[in-house]
Amino acid sequence: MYVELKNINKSFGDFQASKDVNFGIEKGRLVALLGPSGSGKTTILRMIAGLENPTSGDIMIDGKRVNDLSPSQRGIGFVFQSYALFRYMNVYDNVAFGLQIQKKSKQEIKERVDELLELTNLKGLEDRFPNQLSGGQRQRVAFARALAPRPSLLLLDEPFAAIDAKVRKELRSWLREMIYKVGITSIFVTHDQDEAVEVADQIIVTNHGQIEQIGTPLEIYKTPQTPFVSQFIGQGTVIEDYYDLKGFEKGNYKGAIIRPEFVEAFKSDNDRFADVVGISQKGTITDILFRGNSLEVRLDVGGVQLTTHRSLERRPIKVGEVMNVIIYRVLAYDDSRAYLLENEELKKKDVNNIHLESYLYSEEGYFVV
Amino acid sequence: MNKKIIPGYHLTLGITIAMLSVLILIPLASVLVYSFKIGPAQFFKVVSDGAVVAAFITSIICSFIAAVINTVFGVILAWVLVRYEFPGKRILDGLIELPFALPTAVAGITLSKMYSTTGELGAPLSKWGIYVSYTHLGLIVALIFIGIPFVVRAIQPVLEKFNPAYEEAAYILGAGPKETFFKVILPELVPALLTGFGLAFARGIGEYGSVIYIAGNSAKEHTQVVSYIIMQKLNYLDYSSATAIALVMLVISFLLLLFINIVQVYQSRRTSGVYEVSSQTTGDALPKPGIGRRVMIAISTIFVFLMLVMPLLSIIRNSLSKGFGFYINSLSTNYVRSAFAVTIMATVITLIVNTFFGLVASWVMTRFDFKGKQVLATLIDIPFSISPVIAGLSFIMMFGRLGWAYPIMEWINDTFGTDIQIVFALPGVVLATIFVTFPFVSREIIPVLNSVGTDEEEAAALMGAKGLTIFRKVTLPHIKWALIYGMILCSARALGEFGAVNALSKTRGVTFTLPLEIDALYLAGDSDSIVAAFSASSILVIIAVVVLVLRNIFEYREKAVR
Repeated sequence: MYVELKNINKSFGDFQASKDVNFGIEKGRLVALLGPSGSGKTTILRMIAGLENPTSGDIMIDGKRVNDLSPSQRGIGFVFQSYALFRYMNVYDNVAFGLQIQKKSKQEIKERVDELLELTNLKGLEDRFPNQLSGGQRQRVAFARALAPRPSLLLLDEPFAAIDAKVRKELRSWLREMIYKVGITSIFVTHDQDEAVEVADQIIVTNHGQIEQIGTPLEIYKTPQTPFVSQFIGQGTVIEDYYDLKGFEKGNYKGAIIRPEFVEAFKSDNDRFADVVGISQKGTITDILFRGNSLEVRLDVGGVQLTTHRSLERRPIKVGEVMNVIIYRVLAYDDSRAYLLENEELKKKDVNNIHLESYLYSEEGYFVV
Repeated sequence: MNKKIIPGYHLTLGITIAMLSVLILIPLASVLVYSFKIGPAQFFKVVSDGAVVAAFITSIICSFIAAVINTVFGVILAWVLVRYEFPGKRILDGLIELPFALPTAVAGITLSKMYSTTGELGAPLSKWGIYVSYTHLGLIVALIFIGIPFVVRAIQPVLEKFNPAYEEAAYILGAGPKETFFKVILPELVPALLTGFGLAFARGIGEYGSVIYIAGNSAKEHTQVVSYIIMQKLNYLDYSSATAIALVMLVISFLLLLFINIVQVYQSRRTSGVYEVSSQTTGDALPKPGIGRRVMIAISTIFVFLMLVMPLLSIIRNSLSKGFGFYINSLSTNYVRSAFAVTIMATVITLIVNTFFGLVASWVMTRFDFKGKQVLATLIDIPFSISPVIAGLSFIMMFGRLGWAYPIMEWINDTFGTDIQIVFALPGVVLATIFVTFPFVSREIIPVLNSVGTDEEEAAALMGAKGLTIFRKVTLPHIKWALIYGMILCSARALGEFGAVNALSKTRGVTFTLPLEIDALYLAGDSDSIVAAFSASSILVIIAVVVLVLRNIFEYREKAVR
């Protein structure tokens, strides 16, 4: 493990920002710390950076305990949420700052800065001041400044928060590519699950100062392990009487989360669903919302309110129409864990898990084989 | 903002320009007009006179030295007040403002007495061979006294808003506390520093009340300041010399104001759009201020005690030095009573006029963009940076026997059978007081309105609210404390105005204000009247202290609201 946190606790007065945090990150990984605001993710990042001291526990970087080392001795680079570019220095001086502090020779500084400006596509902007740059350019300067002293670990605090939604998507892939190109182990903080899923190859989900789950984006998405993660990831709705739905029985659970992609609604004359129409139940459309590339359909299924997405390519529907509804699965939860429950009646029909397999790896839905 | 959604643009702009013209610009222009009549030959003869040149050199050099010293201590004080928590911080913070609230004449006689060879500080210093009163050193001490709040108050807000991420960024990149301060923090402070320096410098060059007692005003020792020379010329009714010298001073003040404004424009350009204010506090792993913190707090406390607290104590001690009975007696002479009445009257009228102007001007300056806004802002600030003596001179050159408005006043008096006198009468005293305290209310409100922004007013206007309703229901709640504070400060300055009134008021017991009465008593020279001068001063000191306490309460309340 390149970065390791062992039994980290952190309090600000009465407020406990980190509770018994443990995790390890392998060299070369790009990791997202994902959680809602106030979940303690930024505190974890700042402790790794050496901006905050943990109340107890050890932080290891490259096998060495770094608790007592200052940030500049830890070999880290840090990109601040609002970038904190020095406003009275131009782009060149901002990037050169860390090297000048290290008293590197003029020649060496120039070579390194040029190299980084080349890499971040900022050539020609050396003399600009931060207020003469766009949001994306500022992010790149911040990135170059953090990398200049050749850190072996890059930390980024909400790197996309200060950028317009439109440019944000582009920058996500840019940052991802850039980090792989440099080959540096990186940890970034975000509250946006799309961002985490898209950029990171490992996600650490935090909540109330604790680690909820660690895994690849796919693992986090498909098999959330805790009630919090199952609600935080995806656009699920929480339902208490899930056992009223066909194919599910009452278990020792407090409730269940049903994501739109768990719900299939089809017209009764649809041939594709002829096999399974017998195990479906009736649901009335209560609302239809246009979501650009699809429709969001709200259904009342025996008193349970469900939501599903519907491709615009399919036949038109209208409010009040009665549909046949099948729920493939639900995420049931008790106090501490989440469990994936399959539709029992579907399982009986799908003995070899053919449909299940195809669902997991296709975007089209359960029945496309 | 091309379309003006918020109402009142033409009305408020009109009122602002009209009041500014009538109360400030036209009187000042009278000085210009008169000085052009003199002719270049005589102008240069007056201005190149040995004593005048020496006075300019004295004023400029002493003000410059005082401003430099204030800049250094100003940074330390502001840093200590913003960055450290320690017992008594709030008191220290409040005391900084003392020179704003304490009448300059009171400060003048107190410093003069304190640093004289028999004074509390002067006596020990003279044993070391250091003489302060009646030397250049005394001049500099007085100028440090009046200039310190300008620098501290310019830097403090910038430091308060300083984003901790800048320091953290420097720290992560390996910079130590020294490098961080000089490379990252100081550049952010430079514009504010220059502004504070410029204001203190400008104020110092024009200063009158606080320096004339301690300076000694000796032509031979070169301890005469420019304001003193102007006043001297006025007393000899040598108006052409007075205006010629005043013109040079006006040019200097204007250049300094221009410089300050350019600095501010430059600053807002460099920083616009980059500032993302972070609410986050600095991480606890950053290096802790160690010995430096204690040293800085000690320096600040000693500075404030020597420069600000000692004078206060000295006034109280002096005023009671002949017993409480004498104290009460000296406050109940007819002269003091009359002076008190005149002072209160002038202050009340000034407060009404300047509060009205302050509200209207800050509305137009913060709610609308228009061509020449920067010029207007500079013009409104003129009274800050010109000598109060010139303010007095302006009204003499306008309404006095040589003034262009004199025939108009004659005509009015003849036609309506009235006997209105302006110069050397109560209206002159009032006008001079208004002039000197003109920007005080607007100066407090404008920053608050700027930071609040116009969103709420635009929302109210779109919902159909009229100008006054918007002001009453949306704007006023935001500026309530700033307004009250501006009014208090304006009153304090009005009560203590000396230089301008001095030029316009000559009759003791009729048109004398309290500071003039104090001046008369002090200059009488015998020990009884000097103690009486300090007794009368104590009234103004009490008012100043009340102002400081109120200010402190309002400021902290406002901070609690934000």
